[in-house]
Amino acid sequence: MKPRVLWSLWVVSCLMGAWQAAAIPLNTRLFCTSYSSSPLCRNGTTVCQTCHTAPPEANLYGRELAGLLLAYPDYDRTPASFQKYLSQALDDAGPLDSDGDGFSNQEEILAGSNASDASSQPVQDPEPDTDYDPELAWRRIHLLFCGTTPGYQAFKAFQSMSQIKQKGELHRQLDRCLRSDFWRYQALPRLADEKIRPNKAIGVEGDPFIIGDYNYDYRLFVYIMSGDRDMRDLLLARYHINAAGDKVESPIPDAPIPGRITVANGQPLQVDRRYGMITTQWFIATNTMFATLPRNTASQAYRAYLGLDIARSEGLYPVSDEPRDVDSKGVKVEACAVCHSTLDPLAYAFTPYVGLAGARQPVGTYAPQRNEWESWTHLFGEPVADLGEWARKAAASDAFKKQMTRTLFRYALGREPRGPQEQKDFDALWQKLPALSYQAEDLVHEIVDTLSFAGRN
Amino acid sequence: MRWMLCLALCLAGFRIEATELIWKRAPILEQDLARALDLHVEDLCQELGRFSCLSQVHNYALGGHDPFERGQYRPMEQPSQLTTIAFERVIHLSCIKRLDKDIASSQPQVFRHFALNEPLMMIPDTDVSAQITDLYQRFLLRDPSANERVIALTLADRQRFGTRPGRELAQALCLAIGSQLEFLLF
Repeated sequence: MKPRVLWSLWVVSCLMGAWQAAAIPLNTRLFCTSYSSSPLCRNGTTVCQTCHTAPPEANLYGRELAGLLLAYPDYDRTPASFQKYLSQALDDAGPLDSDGDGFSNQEEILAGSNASDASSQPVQDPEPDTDYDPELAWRRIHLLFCGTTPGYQAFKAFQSMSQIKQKGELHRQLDRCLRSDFWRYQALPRLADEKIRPNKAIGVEGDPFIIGDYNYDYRLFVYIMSGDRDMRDLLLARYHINAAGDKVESPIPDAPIPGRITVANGQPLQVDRRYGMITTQWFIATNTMFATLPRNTASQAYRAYLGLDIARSEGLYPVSDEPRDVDSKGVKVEACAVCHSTLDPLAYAFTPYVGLAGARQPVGTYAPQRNEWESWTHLFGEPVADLGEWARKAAASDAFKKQMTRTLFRYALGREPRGPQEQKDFDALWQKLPALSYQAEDLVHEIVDTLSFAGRN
Repeated sequence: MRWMLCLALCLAGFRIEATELIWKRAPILEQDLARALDLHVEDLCQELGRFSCLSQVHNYALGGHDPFERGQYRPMEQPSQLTTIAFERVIHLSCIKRLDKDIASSQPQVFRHFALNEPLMMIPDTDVSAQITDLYQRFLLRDPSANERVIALTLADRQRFGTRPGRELAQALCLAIGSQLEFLLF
């Protein structure tokens, strides 16, 4: 397809999406003004799916709200009119039960369940007599972190121990599991998939093109998430782990593979410009590709390590006078600007990192001549000088603590935290991360001690 | 008839009382099933004799995901209708693999409580009961309740299947006990 046709399609799709999504981020802020304590609200915004199936289609709760809005005689469907009456409509919809599951919309929103899905209901606080069940914990620790249990006889032996001995044994066993091949080579790498987003067709086994070797990313992730390492290194590490498992602190040049078009397969970035997982060659190559302003790279870093998905209206911190539209993509259009006023300032820091378009310089390296936008970078609405400051600020944020805790909590329980008890446990866990020196294994030890993990009535 | 008995056994045996259960997803199911049947992972169920049921063919339905070739960066949130079908198939084919090994071996590892080639009418209830206990311990890490044992023993219906070889009973017991939801959720 010709570039001009592609460009036209992009503009049309941007404008259509913009029309459909007009003012939505503002509306989600209004929702969170009414329900500020709801788990559905993060950083003062909620996701589209709170009121929509796929925007602009409303879900059951959204339709309820629409019906209430239409009841106002002067409601004229304009954004201004919508925003004028939304707060009252939210109040009026609160006592109603849109999905007919026996819980009011307000109860569901405050508990973080889906008011449009009868199968999603507020989880009640555990009964006062809920106790920690060491036998359930034993089974779960073995299965989740060792991949299997040692069998019936071992379970009988555990059952025969005193409660005090059982507790010590659980943590000793967990330590053994966290050093097992299952955890390090099977389970842990799978927790990185969403963050690395590998693609075999263009990875180190790609044929004919190899645009990066994501094995470096997996090895770095597993290294940082195991032992007594600090998880903040995911955004701060200046080293890589080679195939032999050794820490390498110098640039690793690309090495052409005969018979393949090897665009990139090393880690050639200068050491003082490295920031863990968000500057690996694969991360830059696969996310930046040919972009002048690497919006995908920034949004993926924001989503993967801070848990903020701009496509879902999460983590919006509009910066005044943004977007500047430095690459002339038409993002100044009002409806595009609501997200791009956050996204573009996030992305400026990535512009000096060479994507696939920089034929004169290896992919993933730092090109000082491309840093004219770098100083305009903002994270969380505040200015940062470059990607180094971006990464340090991100690594110190609550968003990072929550995201890394969520990654392990979700693995351990098979779901996002939901209901008051799990939310309480989750909040206590991420807030404890600094006291745990940001060590993933210590965090897992804390998770298995919670009632969320092994409570039984 | 046998399927109804399997269902009855599942219902009788499903007694986990935790408020929220965890789905034993494909990578863990693979390891734990291999342990229960004393098989290497690569000797478990394979479709067409070539493709691993757990890490390839039914991987996604069983809660796994393949980021490299299929772009699946996250597994399914909850089990789907396909999950139970795939689960039962994986248990069934893996049981057969174990049976084949035990039949060919002079020292069977799992199906060792009665002769697999003898007709059912020649196998006493005590031996069947011992096999039932062994399978419960292997799959569910516990002994069967009295009720579960009675239901499982009805699979040894000598009036209807008395001339059939013991291996068919062993296969039915393995499927009925191994495919209980208690083995899939924990």
